[in-house]
Amino acid sequence: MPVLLLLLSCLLLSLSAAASNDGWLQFERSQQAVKKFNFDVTFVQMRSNQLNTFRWLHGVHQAAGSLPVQTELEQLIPQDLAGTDTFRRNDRVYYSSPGNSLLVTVNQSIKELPAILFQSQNNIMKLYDAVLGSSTSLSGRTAQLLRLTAFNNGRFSYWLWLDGETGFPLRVDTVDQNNEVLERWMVVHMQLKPSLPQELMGLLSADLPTEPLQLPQNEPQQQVNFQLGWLPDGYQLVLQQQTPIASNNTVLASWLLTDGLHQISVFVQPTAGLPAQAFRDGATTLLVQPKQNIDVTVIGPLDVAVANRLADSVR
Amino acid sequence: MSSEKQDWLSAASDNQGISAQQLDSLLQDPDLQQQWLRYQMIGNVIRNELPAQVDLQFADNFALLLENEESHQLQPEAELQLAAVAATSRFGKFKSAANMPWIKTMLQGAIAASVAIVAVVGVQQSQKSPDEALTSPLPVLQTRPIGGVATPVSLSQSSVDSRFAAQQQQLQLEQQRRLQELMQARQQQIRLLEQTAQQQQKNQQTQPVVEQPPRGQ
Repeated sequence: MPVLLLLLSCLLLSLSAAASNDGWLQFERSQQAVKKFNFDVTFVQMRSNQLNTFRWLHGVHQAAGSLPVQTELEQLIPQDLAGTDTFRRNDRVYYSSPGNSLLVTVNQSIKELPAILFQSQNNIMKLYDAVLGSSTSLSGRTAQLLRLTAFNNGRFSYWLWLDGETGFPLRVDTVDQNNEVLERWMVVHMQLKPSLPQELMGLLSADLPTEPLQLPQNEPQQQVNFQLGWLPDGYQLVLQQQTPIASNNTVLASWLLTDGLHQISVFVQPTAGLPAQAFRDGATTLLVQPKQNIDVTVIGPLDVAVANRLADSVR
Repeated sequence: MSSEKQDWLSAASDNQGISAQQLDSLLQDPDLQQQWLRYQMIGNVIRNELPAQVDLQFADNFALLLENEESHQLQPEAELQLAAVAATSRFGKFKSAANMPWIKTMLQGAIAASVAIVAVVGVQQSQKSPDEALTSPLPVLQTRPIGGVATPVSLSQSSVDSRFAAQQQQLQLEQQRRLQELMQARQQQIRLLEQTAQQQQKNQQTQPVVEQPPRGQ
């Protein structure tokens, strides 16, 4: 009898493992879709009381010849505001905005798109559990719900709706612990193409600088006066160069933390003499905490309580 | 010469073209005019267009009739008509009154007053109480392409003494500017994250392990 029970539990365990595996398989499929497909997509981004629309073009060009040279092209065009036109050719991302010089960076993906679609699955598996939900109809297509639930309570969860036919992400909701939607990313128009979209042809051969923005070669800034005493679960400190701040608002110290998917920024500035304040911009929390003669500002996709603890740990 | 003359005249009476010089000569030469008349007559006869009796004197007779006609003088009747209209309709009365200078001034005054009322009401409506301005979503925070309006959550968004409201508002604005700047700095950090990581890897490969930069632990 106990042997039978053991067998049964083993069976159940393996079943549940297979189910979660299925979730990750779907996720993998969706990550491949945004990397491999040729498409012309329009999506909206809803955060608090703001709505932005972007057109997103992507394509992979296979050069004719004996060597299989692939060029990945991507462009992000704001539709309802005169914002930054962003485009990518392989691992170079260009930011072009009126009045500014072209910013050239090295990136495998455009950071303004949902990071969850581009970060390595191994990183994400460390932080999230994938569970398949029900199928619904979205934009006239059958969409499969995939819940990525955070292991840690301070981290926000993701609900993804993936196109049943192609696996392409149709909607990404960022939700808090109470399953309240903080931010929504939603495809409103999707056109998959057999080959590189015509609009990207120009980008393929465009003469663009390949030399990225020169990072200062000096030592990372000395932060002897202030120290961060605690890191949220799963986060690591990223060593970084001097914070690029344009105006005369001095930054006494700053840190950048990452869990491989999200980033948290911490800044120390002379105090402005205001009480502690917290704001939310979509899924991004902004916390300002005054301490004697300094203000600690924490910006990142995290719970206010966690942000508070992080700010408290600055010494 | 003569036949040449007749040729073009004949052609002209058959609706052919006529040059300016030929027209001039026709107008000046009575002989030619007589000829023209004859040609027209011949044409009419051929086309069978003649009336029962041809009165060649018609134009002269008509001129004589005009001579004998009495001359008439036109009487201006405008005043009479206006008076009639004024008597029949109220609108007409107002219309005539509207032409008077005093009512014009009054109307202008009334329009100016109503504009002023609208302006005052508009200003009153657009003014918010200072408390409301503090607690309502602050519209300044924007980082693009990501970004938007930050809305306060929990903590201390209330308890602002109204006496210091203006000062507080100023500070809030300053705070918003600072936050906006930090958001932009953060955006830059994220954009350069991969590049920084790559460079550090390179540095670590080239540099011996001795020079470990101090970690902020």
